[in-house]
Amino acid sequence: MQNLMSNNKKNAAFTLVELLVVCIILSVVSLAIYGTLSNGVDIWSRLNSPIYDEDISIFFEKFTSDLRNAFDFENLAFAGTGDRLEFATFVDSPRLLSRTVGKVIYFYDASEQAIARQKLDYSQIYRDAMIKPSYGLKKVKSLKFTYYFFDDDNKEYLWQDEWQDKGLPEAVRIEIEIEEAGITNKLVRTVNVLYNSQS
Amino acid sequence: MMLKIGNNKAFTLVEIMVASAILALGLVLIFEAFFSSLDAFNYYLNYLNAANFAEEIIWQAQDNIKRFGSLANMENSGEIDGKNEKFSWSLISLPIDNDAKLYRINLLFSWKQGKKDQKITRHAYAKFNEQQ
Repeated sequence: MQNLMSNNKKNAAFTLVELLVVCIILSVVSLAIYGTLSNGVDIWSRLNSPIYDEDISIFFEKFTSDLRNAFDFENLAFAGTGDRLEFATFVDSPRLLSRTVGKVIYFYDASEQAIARQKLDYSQIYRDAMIKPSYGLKKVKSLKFTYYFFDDDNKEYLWQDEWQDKGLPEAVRIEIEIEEAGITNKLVRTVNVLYNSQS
Repeated sequence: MMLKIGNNKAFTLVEIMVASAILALGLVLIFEAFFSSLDAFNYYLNYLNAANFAEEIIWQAQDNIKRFGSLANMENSGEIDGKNEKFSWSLISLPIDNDAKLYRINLLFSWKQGKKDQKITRHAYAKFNEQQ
């Protein structure tokens, strides 16, 4: 009997126990590798998805730099209402390939639910060119500008909802309501207009 | 009696165990890397969120000092519900010259992220404007 088995080379095989052990080890190892991979893909896609908070920061950064560069220019008056603001500032001119005198308009576009920013250099204003606005910030529910100034008559600082006066306000406050995933967040930023700031 | 049949060389149990231990170590390290990157990402999100609030608090403080100088009466600490975390902030303003006209504002924002305490600081100067 033993001779029969040992002589027949084709009779060599794994036993059931060996196979089971191999299967278990294989499954444990592959489960671990799969878990790592799928976790990795999840985390990767989360890190790579566009970050809305970044857009907010970039928008405020742009708004701040526009307002800090604002100046008093008789042809381009600083004019602001609750949800629209336009003023003279330095803009990048696509024709001159440098920064030049121009005008920036911020307004709320209700159909796009976005804050639009329109940028015109002086020649574009002169030609009355139609410039497409770029949407600075989306998912915006409401936008409100208020204007801070020093009242010479009463000798005190005041806020007002509109700016149609001559000159520039001391500061502009922008209040935005943002709706993200059903939650409404309110953001407030006040920017000094350096041209007129006495500090 | 065992007979050698063909090539009987195989992995021993010890070899397999060592191999899976090395594999496990590798996986743990990879996971560690994932989680630390996720941590950094969350910190960055909270930082962006907190920076928005911090700028506004700094402006309020500067405005207060500009108008009232040493008589400025402002809140020195508070809590803000951020998007994901609850931020707490504290503010210190001190005159840095002899006539108490120029002030330095230090603002500290802190929040808990998991078990770790995270914070950001902002500094600004403010000038008392004596015109009224």
